[in-house]
Amino acid sequence: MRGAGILVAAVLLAPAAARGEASVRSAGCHTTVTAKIEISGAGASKTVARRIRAGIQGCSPGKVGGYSLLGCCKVFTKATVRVRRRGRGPRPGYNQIDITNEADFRSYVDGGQDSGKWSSAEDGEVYAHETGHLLGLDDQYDDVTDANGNTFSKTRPGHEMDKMGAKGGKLGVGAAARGDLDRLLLDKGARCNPVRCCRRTTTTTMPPATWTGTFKYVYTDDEMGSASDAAGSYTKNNHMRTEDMWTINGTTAAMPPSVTVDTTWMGTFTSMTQETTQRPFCIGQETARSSSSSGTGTGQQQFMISPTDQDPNQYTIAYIPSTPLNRIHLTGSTHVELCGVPPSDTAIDGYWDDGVSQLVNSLPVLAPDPGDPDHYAGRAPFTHIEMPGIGGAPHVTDSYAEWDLRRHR
Amino acid sequence: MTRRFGSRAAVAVAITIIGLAAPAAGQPVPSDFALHAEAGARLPAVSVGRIDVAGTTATTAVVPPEGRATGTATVTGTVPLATTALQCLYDAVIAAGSLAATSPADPGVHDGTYAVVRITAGGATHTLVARNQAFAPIDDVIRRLNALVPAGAQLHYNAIAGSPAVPCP
Repeated sequence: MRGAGILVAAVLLAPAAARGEASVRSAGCHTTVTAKIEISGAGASKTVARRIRAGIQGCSPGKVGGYSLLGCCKVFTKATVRVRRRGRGPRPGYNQIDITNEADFRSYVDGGQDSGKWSSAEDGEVYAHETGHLLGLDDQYDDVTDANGNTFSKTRPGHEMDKMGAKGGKLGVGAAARGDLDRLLLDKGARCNPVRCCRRTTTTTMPPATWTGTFKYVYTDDEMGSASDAAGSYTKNNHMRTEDMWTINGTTAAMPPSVTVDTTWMGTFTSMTQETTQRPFCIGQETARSSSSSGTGTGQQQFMISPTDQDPNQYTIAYIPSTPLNRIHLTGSTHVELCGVPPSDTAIDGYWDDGVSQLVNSLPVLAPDPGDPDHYAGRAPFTHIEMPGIGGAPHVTDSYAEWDLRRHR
Repeated sequence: MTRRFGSRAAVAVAITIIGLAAPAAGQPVPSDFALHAEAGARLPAVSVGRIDVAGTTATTAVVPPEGRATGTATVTGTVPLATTALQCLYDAVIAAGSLAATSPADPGVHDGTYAVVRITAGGATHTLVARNQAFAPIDDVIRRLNALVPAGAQLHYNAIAGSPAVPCP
């Protein structure tokens, strides 16, 4: 029955109808992602189309390994590459790529991620990297030029083996890259049931354990500061915090030696923003904006806890996507003041997804306390980003995961 | 009418060619004039080129993939520069407005190329960077710089792909 699982087809469609598409299709324990590309320009030919297609398929995770959806389901990348006929317009639904024969040209994809210009001389790896953008993946390197003109191009931490961060890397390899690709594919409709699809070849004499305890994920975003220039003065006092807690309420059998734990999820979200702008003139411009929103959510979530092949007392955590997805319902209001215009208030009514994928991507391999071999607890930072905010004050986002688990044998 | 247009076009082309080949010589080259240029692919695992002009020497270098994170380059050669070449480069800097320009905003394109120039003149240093776009205060200088170094050491990036180096002088 392995192949008789859910069949899901989704389309990576942005709101614009002309945007390039890619289909994501899951069947059983396999997912196939197919990018649709139309090439045109002086370098476009059937030969180049074949090379692009071969490059994309040659770097398919299902072929080269390194990544599986949720750690369990094989993913294959494919491409339909067509050459635009002379005199024809762009084919609807296809990513539009201009092909050039110019020597030393370096391929790129536009910010909208559905068009670009590629060199006919690139190797297959570059075509696969650029196609990653067409699928919605971002670059995972930073190039910075300092005041002295020194330029530094660095692969982001955690993406050293990721095709989006380093040449020679593979799609979805590394904890951060795996999380990105998991999120992208699940958002686009891919499905994978780890309980059914994970097949472990190792055996262990340890009986599966049962578990109690909690997982927690916290994300905060804070920016405070003020600035002024010739055009006026500005202030910001913005704070956002979301917290997810999963409490284990049962353990069910899974594919030994893994177990599946049932949890109750509870999420909270709060956001307060206050922004002001003072200018020496009044032409109806916005002078103040404040908003307050909050919400809570509850739901069910399953995790799979699996001992590592190397050490049966150390565990990895995966999650089984809940249906429906757990979300926090947000309510609140936004107050806007315009110069010389009566203030207005509008209601906020929205949703915030739970942080289960971020939690799982934050978690390291769990190891027991040295003095208590059945207690697993710790805290792992996921992100800490400080950006220059208003007036030079730091704009800080933080996130971390915590776990406090007890194994019962 | 056609003949008159043709002659005007010819004059315009001639002016353009003269303008590209030799910006009007004017200001003397400051004694501290120095130029640093680097360009190439943004992807970190690809080599990029670098040219440094100091005094009467141009030093060419390559930043190999393993040097991209730290900006560490390997020198590939040196080229002596005549004073006329230095004057030509400085004139190009002035004509392109490189010392007064500000770097254009990053258009947010994935991958592609970048180009950087750092110019020291008259006690001040000015740095410009452009990613994935034509920008005359950089491009006009690098096209001329490329004419002064061996073909294998020239800087390549998308904004000037397919356009030849401009003789200098």
